[in-house]
Amino acid sequence: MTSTPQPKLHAASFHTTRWTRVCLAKADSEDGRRALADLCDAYYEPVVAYLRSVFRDADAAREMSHAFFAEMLVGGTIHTADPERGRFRFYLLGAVKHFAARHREAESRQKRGGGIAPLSLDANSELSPALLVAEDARLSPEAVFDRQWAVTVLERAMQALDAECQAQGKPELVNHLRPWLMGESGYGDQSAAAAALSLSLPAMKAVIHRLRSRFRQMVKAEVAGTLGQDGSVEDEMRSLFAALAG
Amino acid sequence: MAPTLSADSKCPLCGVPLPVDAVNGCCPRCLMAGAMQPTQAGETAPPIPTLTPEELAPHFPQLEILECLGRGGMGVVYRARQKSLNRFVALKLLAPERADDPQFAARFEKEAHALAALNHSHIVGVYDFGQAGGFYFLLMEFVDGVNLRQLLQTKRLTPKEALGIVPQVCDALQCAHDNNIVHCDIKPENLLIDKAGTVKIADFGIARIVGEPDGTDGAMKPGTPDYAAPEQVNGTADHRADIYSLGVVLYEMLTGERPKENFTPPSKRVQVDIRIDEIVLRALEKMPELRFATAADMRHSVEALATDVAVKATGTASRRRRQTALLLSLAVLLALAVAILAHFGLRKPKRITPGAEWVSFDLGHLSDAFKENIQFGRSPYGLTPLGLADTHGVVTAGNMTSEATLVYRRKSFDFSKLASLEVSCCFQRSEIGAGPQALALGLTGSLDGVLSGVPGSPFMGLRLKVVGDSLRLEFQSKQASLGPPRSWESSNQFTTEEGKWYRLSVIFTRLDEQTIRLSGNVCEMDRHGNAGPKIGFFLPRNFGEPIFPVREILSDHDVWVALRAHGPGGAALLDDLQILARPPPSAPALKN
Repeated sequence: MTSTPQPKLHAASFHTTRWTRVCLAKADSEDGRRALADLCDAYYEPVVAYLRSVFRDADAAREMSHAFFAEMLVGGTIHTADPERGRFRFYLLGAVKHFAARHREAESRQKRGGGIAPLSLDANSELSPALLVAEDARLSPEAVFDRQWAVTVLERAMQALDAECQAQGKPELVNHLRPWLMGESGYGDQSAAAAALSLSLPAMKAVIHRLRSRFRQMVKAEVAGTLGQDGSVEDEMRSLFAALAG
Repeated sequence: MAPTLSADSKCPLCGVPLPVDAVNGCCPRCLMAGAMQPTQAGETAPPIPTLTPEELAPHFPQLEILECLGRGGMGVVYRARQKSLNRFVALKLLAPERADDPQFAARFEKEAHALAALNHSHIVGVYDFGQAGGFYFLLMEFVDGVNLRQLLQTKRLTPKEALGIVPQVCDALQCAHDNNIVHCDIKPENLLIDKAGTVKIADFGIARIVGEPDGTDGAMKPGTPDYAAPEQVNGTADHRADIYSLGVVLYEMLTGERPKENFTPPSKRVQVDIRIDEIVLRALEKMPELRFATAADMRHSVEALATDVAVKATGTASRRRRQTALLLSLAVLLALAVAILAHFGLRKPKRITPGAEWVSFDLGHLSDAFKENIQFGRSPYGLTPLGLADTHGVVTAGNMTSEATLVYRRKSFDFSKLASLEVSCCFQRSEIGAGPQALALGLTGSLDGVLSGVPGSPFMGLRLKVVGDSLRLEFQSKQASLGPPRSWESSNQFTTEEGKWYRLSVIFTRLDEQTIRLSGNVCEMDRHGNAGPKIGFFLPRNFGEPIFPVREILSDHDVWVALRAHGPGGAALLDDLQILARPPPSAPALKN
């Protein structure tokens, strides 16, 4: 789903994935369902990361994610969407945990081998993600989920920023200046980038400042879109930052 | 070229190897850290690390420092417990990088003294201040709640809620202004709302303390750009800058956006009472002298409106039917009491604005001020005891065909020596016939002034244009030699009732020799001469050369006030003409 190219994101479409809309919409209204589908589409990767961390198998995780989202969108899972439960992140994590537990139960039945996992014949071959699993193993599945969530938030904000620059006819801006979104210093050679963009150094600094501020707004808007009515954007950003540090 | 970041390199900022899931080659951790910085205009967070409560504790033995509440451009705030009194307090550390600056120290001392003297229920109180561990600190009342910015982020306020916040802020501002303290940085972040819904202004005077030293003892510095009044840029601002900022806050509360250059009035953006526009536009005037003169003035305007809105809301809300019934019975009792009082002759005298020229028509004859200036026929005006508050009014000859101009000839006015001229006149709505207008109020260049399109003398003013059964306000101006007049019609259309009294008011403000700013309104009057709600509006608008011929009036040293009433247009009976000439302000109201 996420591997297909995203439609061009304008600021307007960017703000439409709002968790509050899902919560506020009538349980099985078309609007609520579509809003949930939008959100699920946007936050597909954290689910894959979680399932991969639990089942230690990238392909199975991807397949199960398909199954999970299909069940969630077709089935009545939206009925349990409740503003009281707060953030979409918690909601989705709860739902996928539940899903994984049911799946494990089904797997451990005698019929499916009594809990003994079938060994893949491809293990340790070039294609298997053995390295990734080893790296992720240091984190709990929940931490992996949160970390991937934070990365997804940043990616979506970055896409929105790209789209905005594109719409303004300056796609090269963000490509050249992207490193400085992280901080004003540390990446040296600003004058070379200024020359490449044929801007004076002060002018480029101003552009960077504007770009950073815009990026900040976009991250905040993206985070806000996943919160319930009373959620604090700052709190959620702190949690995401902590997840990245973990 | 930009530095290229490959997947196996380290992040040059935090030194951690870049993870495989780096966002477009950027370290996600540093990206998120960048995104977490405050998003505010200016965005110049001081380059000091935020100290943890533990690091701070040794410097403040009298306090138990609990948590960092946040940081803004002005410093860092912590929640703490004052051990001696066992109460929560807010500890604010100011500009640590300026600790060695003696000028800053002097200003801090002076302002902090003034702040500590401010004692008001809507101002965050200052308990103590001083210097400790290299920090200038203020110990303040802890407000358990949210700031207005946080509130606005979680919900959209109703107009009623928004209007409920403004009077409290005005109250506090007035108190501070009376003490010669200007806030300079009124914005939603500085308006705290506690759990009981009480609004408290935080950071009073902090802008002046932290403002860059410039040799003028901390003159006013621009606050947060979107909220700062235009005059704050060149440092000549006074208390009216706070009124402007509050106007921005009000606009934002109502519409969700801050007013930009050439902004649209709130009622055009969201469904609010059109009268709110008048308040917002007046607070947001670019010239300080056109704004509310004091915060108290603004408060009165808002409160008058809020009461009215509340009454209307009570009347329509069906779930409050029982409450309404109770109110109704109370109202009936009250009405009875009023009727009894009125019957026994307790009548209020007519209200006269201090300093105003006033014609009540109560003498029973046309005074000298008018006598010789009756146009169209020998006596189109007759006096009948039918005016407001059972006094004489003046009626246009008792028939439906007369129209007439009266020029107030006792006094002429010189616009070059005036800030503004306010003219108002009451009229009783009579049947609308074939007349094009009900009443016009304006200024003319000569005593034989003709307030119409006939060549003779220049004039400008507002007229109540008849549109079907309702009325609209229209600006007109004309040169002496040429006609017909140029006009501009307001889109606000309103209905009036036959037999009821109304008052038309017009405010002329001279901006320069070629530009006049006009605003006006029509309000209901009860029969005792008390003003009721406003029903018609002419929002402030500039008219100038070369489109509107106004130079002749503006440069003339003798301008006369005139009115023109049309029986067939629905204004056969007049009363209470008032003219108030306001001199230009002599000096800025506050000294530093």
